[in-house]
Amino acid sequence: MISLMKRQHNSHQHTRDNLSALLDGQLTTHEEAATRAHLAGCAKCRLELQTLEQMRAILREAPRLDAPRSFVLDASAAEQRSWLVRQRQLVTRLYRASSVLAAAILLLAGVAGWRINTLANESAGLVPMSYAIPAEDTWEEGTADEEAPAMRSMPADEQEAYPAADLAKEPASDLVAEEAAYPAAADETAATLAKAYPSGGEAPSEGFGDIQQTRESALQDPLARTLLTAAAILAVIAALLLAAVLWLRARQPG
Amino acid sequence: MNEAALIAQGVQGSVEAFNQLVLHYQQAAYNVAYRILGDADAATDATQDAFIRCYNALDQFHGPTLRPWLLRIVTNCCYDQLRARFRRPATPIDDLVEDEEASYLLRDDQPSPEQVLEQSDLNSLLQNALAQLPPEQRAVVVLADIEQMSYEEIALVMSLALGTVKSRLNRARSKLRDYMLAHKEQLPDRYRLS
Repeated sequence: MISLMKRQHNSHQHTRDNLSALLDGQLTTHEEAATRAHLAGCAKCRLELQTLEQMRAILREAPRLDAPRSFVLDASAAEQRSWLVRQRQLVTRLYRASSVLAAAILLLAGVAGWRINTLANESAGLVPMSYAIPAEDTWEEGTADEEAPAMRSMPADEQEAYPAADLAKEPASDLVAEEAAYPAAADETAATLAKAYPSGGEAPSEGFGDIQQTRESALQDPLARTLLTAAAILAVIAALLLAAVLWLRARQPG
Repeated sequence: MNEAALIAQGVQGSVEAFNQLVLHYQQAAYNVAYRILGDADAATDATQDAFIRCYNALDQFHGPTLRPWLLRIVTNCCYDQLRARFRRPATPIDDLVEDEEASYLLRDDQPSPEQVLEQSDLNSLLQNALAQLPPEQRAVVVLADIEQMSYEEIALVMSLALGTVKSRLNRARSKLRDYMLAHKEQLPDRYRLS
């Protein structure tokens, strides 16, 4: 019952929303047919349509007013307009110049960045993974005791099964045993390290610091510095142009 | 009047050519401004501003006819006036609603005294009724029923979708009808709503 009443209410509302458009011939064929079908069975909506039509007729017969005076423009309007037109053209030209400058800045910065990156890679040498294992991860004889505390904290029954002294000695003895078994491999490793690090003979302890150094040295490259300086100058000019555009636009009326 | 030629000359800077367009459209522009603002002085200012803006931006006009574009500028100038009025209310709303001065500006087609009185009464009542509407609905009903523009032209003037034009016009006419019914004793006999 309630849904029926709600549907009827919606139907009335929908028809009323369409009445002006029906008067003005602005409904689709389908909408017009549906609206007229509702009107055929609804006196209230028919009365609504009638009063709307009368209201439209009153508005259409509303008295036309004469202009109280002439609104023609005087000669000064032409001068003001040519000034406004020149300003608009100037603003357009400044916008275009700013766009060209922005493209140039991106190009210069891109080339400079590519140059710096290339130089940094060349300075870093041929080692593809140019980082070394941090010192704390390397095994050295005599440092087994530093590792032992972790082992010494083992549960007592396990410590009994694996006496601490044996555990402490184990890594070092294993290393010694390996070197004894493979002396050639050890020599080969030393030779490779010497080739890769000719100056110090020792593997660098911190590989990431070198990348920073090579990039900093690449920034000393004259071409890269010139490109970056040019990009910075153009950026300043572009900022000034944009400020000029904003100022001119703020001055324009309307 | 060759509107396209006058517009082209106006774009080149000819004030005389543009003034031919002003003389052709000024009555329609003033009527729209007056019906939206309800005040003769405000409507005069808005109309003059609109023609100045139109002249200054004439090189940006692209369309078959100047009327919708000009009336869009007039409507925007009216909205500017309404916003300024809302920020600095200097005139009581009653004085704005009923402008008796405008009755002297009714078109003189040699009507009889009774007709003049009838038109004056209708004009006052209509202007009071329009003042009850929100500005957006007022502008739509003025363009549709007083200027008799199509829905498409109104959509162009006010930058609205056709559906929005349809719904605003329906609501505006309904509210005007309700106002007229509430004040039907003030309506001239032949305009009385049944």
